[in-house]
Amino acid sequence: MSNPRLTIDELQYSDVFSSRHIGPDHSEQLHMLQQLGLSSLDALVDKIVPKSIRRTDVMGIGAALTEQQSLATLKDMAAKNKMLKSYIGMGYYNTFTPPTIQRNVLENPAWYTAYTPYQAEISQGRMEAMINFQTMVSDLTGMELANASMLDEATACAEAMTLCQRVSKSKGKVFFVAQDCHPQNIAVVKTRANTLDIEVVVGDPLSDLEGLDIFGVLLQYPATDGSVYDYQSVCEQAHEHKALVAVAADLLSLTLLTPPGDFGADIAIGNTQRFGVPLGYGGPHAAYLATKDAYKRSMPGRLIGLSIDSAGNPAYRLALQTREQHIRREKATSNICTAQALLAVMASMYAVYHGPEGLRKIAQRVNRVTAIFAAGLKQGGVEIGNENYFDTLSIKAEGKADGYMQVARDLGYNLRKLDDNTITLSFDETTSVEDVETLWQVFLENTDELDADVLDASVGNTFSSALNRQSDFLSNEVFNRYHSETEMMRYMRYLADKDLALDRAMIPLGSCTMKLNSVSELMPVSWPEFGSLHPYAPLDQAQGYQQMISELEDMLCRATGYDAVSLQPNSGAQGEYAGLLAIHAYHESRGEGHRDICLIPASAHGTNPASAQMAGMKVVVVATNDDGSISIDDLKAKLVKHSGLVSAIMITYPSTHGVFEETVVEVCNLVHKDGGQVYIDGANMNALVGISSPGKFGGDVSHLNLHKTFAIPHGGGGPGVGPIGVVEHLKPFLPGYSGVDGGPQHVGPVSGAPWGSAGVLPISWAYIAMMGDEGLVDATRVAILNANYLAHRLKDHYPILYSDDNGMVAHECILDLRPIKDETGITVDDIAKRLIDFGFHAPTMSFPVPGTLMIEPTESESLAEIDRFCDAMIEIRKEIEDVNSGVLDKLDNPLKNAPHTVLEVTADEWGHSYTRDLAAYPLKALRTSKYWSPVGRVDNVYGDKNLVCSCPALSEYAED
Amino acid sequence: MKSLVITLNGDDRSGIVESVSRVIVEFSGEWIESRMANLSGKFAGILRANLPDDQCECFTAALKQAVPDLSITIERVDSVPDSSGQKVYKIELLGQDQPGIIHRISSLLVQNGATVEELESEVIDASMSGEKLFKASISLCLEQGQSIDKLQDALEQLANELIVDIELG
Repeated sequence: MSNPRLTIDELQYSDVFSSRHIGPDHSEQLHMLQQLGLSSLDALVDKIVPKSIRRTDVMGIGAALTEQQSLATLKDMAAKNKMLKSYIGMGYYNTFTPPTIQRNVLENPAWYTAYTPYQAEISQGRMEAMINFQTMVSDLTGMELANASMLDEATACAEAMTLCQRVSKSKGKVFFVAQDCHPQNIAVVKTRANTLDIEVVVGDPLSDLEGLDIFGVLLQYPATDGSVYDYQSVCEQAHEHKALVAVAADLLSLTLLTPPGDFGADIAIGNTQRFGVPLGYGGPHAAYLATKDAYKRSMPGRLIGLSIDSAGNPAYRLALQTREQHIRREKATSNICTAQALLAVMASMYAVYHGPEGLRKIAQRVNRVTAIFAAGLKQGGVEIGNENYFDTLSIKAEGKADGYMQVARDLGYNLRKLDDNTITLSFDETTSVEDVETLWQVFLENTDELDADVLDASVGNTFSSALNRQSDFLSNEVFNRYHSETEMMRYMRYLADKDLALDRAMIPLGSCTMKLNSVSELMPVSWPEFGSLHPYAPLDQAQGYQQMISELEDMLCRATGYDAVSLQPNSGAQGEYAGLLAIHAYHESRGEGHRDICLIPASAHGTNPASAQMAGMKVVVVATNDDGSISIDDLKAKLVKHSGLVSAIMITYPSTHGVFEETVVEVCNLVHKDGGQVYIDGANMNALVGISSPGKFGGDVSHLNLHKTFAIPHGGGGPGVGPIGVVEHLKPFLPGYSGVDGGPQHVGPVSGAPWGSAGVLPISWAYIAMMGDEGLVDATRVAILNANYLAHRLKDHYPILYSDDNGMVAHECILDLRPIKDETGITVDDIAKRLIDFGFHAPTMSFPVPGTLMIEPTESESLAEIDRFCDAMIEIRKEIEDVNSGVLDKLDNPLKNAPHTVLEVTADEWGHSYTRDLAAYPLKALRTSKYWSPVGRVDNVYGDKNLVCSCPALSEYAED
Repeated sequence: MKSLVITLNGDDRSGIVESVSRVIVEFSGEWIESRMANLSGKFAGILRANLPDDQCECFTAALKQAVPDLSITIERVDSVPDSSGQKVYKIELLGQDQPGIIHRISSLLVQNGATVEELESEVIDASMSGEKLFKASISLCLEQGQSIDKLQDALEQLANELIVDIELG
């Protein structure tokens, strides 16, 4: 075989990233195309994608970079970020990420490539870490239960507001917000309240509550200027009005201070970033929400609970899912879906590693350096504004604030200018005595007299002794056992080994796009130049970030056909919400603010109606035809019925049924004709990049899930990033910024940080840059090829529910299992759990149609892996036939009893009517590589009936 | 005119409603209200029709002839209770499916002075996690002096995991 001679240039750049990212190579693609009766990828796309929506132009992303070029370019950008020490505070602090957690969690694909733990059996490891998070939060806040987790502190404050409204017996319409809350918390609460008919009153909770018709109160503890107040009387006063009190509390301070639960608060929320999670210019970080047991059914967000498995052993699962958007849609407690699971795991591991004593010591150190610094200033004659503090001082600057800020910057520190006369400084676990000594120089001309050791001996309590924490915390064994690095490393490995993530097998989840998250895309996230920037650092120190953000915005505009992008929303659902706010504000600007109907097809993702409800819109459902497409007749009827009132239609394209609908342009035109706007949900953008642009075929706004299409890992349920793209006329209505100047003005911020989860944006930048124009189009085409090949292999065994007129699907396909259930009694659940015995994560269950499985292989899976999955599905079909024909028992069969654990298969007694061999090794290949489910099938009913949402005591695991 | 309440049940097939309505029209009757459902291939229906006083007996015979495969009961009602003054509440329940859930809910409704006007329920596969969910939609009236808040609390306490939405219908 002779190869053509390549030039040195071609040889140097011969390692094309797209060929690493895309699973099937050229010859495998040809093989798959042949199976479909096609000759090329072009022919495939021509056959499937309607001409009316095809784009013919090149996106203009440019030629692909190699991995090394991408890393070098990002390194150059990162170098433009100035790494000053930021003592800005406001809920974001410098922290030491324990290196063992950085390497074994943040940088470990077993953790970051996992999916949301809907499939409980294969998610036991991460759910244990997340229940540790819940225990950590409920212990530290003194509340009865906590969720895992919220998107950021500011959105958690907004969620606390709506929780107060749901459970308060007060009929009041006023939500009172303490004026000394962090400004971004106040701003996001105001944005949220605006569309919900809630009046936000900002004032002093110690004096201004009387006479207001309140249903809830939000406090910041410690306050944004560092003050620590005793809020017991505020809680009592609010409760007299039947109002609830939510407290945004700093977790580290709660190791020393009386926790909110102990002084009477009903809800606690906050950020857990300072528990070892890098600042990342604003995120991603896990926030928390904790409350009383009585309010559990009204809580937003994911909740991990303890249940039992089929053998009666303890097993974790997602609890109380009936609250959530994927089940309750517009009646859900919140639209929150993807949260910040990976970051919650990191924060929980920080607590596991340090333990209660370690955390207390860190808090004492932070508090002590603050006290020493304050004592030095006082000795030098500088006045401190807050007598009671934990880590933040408010320094009287008497018109010299700008001067102090400049001197501090020259010395390498960012402080916070509260106003012209006030500077605040927030200390953290990274602050050394040397830092304190340097910072004295900002405020004092002569620091020779100051001796940190002498001052250390003299400082006492920095807050009222009545606020000294009395209650114990983190007494569970998990927080007291893994304090050596060896033990800690093994604990993280022990948990990771229980789970199935992309590092073990394909995760064929329809609508979730579990594609490769390349290491070269992820490496920059760990660089300190990206990791250590404070979200409110001056823009001139964040030039590298600003360049990367602006380039990424441009790339996303090119990929979608929109004119502007906001990267602020930190999940897809937040993006939907931000997009609908933009639409609402646009109508308002034209005197059509009365348009409040949101049309949503019956097949929409649950976040759509939940987001519409949050944006103050009424959901009207549009019917779908038998083939899964939107019913044009019903749409026309709804447009007539609600003429002049339709604000928007929310459609997903390709549809959630996995088909490119021919009629999408007509749908867009009909809604536009009535004056409505078109929201195109970008969840399925992976089938569009490079071959069609929603901004050009009729969309006015779309959100993109960067964690689906643009390679940000799912992290076991977050981080997600949900930027929105808009056409020109909606540009002024993108979310505004909190904490930095500039940004659009019409709509308030939807997240605390101006650029949301900026810390993970280098991933999507690198993905797009390394794929280039051609690679991105190839990815789309192969995603469609893989899905069609898979559908082709399975169609004789399972009916494919929806396909186009040519019998083709888009980038995913739905298997209809209802006939199988009617005939044999084997359910979707049985098949999903049996797949675990074959080493696979189940496809998406019962969405968008109950009784079905939706499969999306993505472009990253190789032919071999897709065949392995198909082999498993076909083998399972044979087992179902054996049940049907009586070869296997109707009730005691490997499907009904799946998954099988190693304990069960190796036990001395085997009570089943089939063999152990069939249970464990239904395919020969499994003998050489076998994933064992750590638990048997998890009992959902038991878990919700006996709700336990914190770490069980060891006795729970004791053998009878 | 006489008011008749007719109940029908048997194997489902096409044309049942058409046959029944044809007979009513033939006898100059009026179809007032009805509830019909098909569950697992079985048809059940209840309907109220007004018929001229002298036609009732012939009508009964004709109806039995028109749908000979269904079992039919016909009762005369002399007066239709007036419920116009009563508040009707619509309750939506959603929770984990479990044995006996309908019985527990209906007992609790009785204890709290609620009369069921309509009850529709189904068990569905939850999206994403695939768990079995019980979903019910109940229209009910409350006896005088009974509180809807008390009923809501009672329903939510019935099963920890039950979510109860109440709307005034």
